[in-house]
Amino acid sequence: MTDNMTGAPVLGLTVNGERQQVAAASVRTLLDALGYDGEFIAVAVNQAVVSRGRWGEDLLRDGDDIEIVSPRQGG
Amino acid sequence: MLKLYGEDIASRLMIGTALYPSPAVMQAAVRASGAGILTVSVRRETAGGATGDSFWALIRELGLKILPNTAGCRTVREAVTTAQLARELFGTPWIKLEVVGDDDTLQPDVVALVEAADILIRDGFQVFPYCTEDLTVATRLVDAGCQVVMPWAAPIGSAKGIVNPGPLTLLRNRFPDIALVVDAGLGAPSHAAHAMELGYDAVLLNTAVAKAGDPVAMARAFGQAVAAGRTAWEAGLMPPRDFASPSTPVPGTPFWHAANS
Repeated sequence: MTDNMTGAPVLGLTVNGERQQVAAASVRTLLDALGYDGEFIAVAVNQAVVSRGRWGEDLLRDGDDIEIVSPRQGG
Repeated sequence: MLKLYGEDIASRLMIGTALYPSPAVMQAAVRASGAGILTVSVRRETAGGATGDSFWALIRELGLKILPNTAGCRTVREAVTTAQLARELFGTPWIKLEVVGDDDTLQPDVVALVEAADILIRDGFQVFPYCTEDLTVATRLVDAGCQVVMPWAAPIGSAKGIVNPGPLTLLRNRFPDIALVVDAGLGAPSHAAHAMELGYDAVLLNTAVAKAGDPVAMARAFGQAVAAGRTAWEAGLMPPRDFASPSTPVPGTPFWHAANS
């Protein structure tokens, strides 16, 4: 199945612990689709960090587990 | 001057950024403490939000070295991935490595800690491991390549101070060239001074300042205590003894007779 507007495949992804259906093949399109507009975020797919330089690559697969994180208070 | 992984750090106090009543109080407390290093964490960002951006702007205004942590991680894999996410976010090879082993005490899973430290050091990280005061664990961490070791004083947020000074002193004696930092469990400035008087290179604290009635004043007090404790260590403390020894001269005491002594 693909998204009518973008042509991206609709994938079943777990994003920050929540199952979602998202039309996104790359990290960049995923962040845009979900409305992430923060500058300081980092992303891991299946517990492997995807560096910012690879966010444009079509590397997402159905069933992927994605973490999107940012800086926060800590001790 | 304190040197951590080759970097000169002007202060021997490292301070956390969590649990303050407000961001403004956090900034004021950090400045009042005179700390040279700030700890931060990595957490999930919400869609459409920019919580991380606003927090990061506050931190950057302080202009201090950043030490990200892996707080809350329970496995080697979680800790390693969190460290890698932190490196991506903060652009530093420094990582305060925490692997939780028990929910009630938040005590480190030292077996997982050593394994994660080894993996991260091979991956180019400079690891600050949060550990117990166990000598064998510290030895394994140093063998893995840690140049800094951070044993607890007491459980995180417990405010008990140093409950087990003997093993901490043993670590100091065994590792004269490793930077040793007391991390966690300090509640009062006197606890921080105690750590420094044991010859520790620095202390790391958060809750004792953030949860004080006046966090800014308490931050200043901790900064003063750390400086006092360090000066005392450098001055050379007298060893304790079991019996009294008069400080005022005995000869010349009125009514004193040598035959009485």
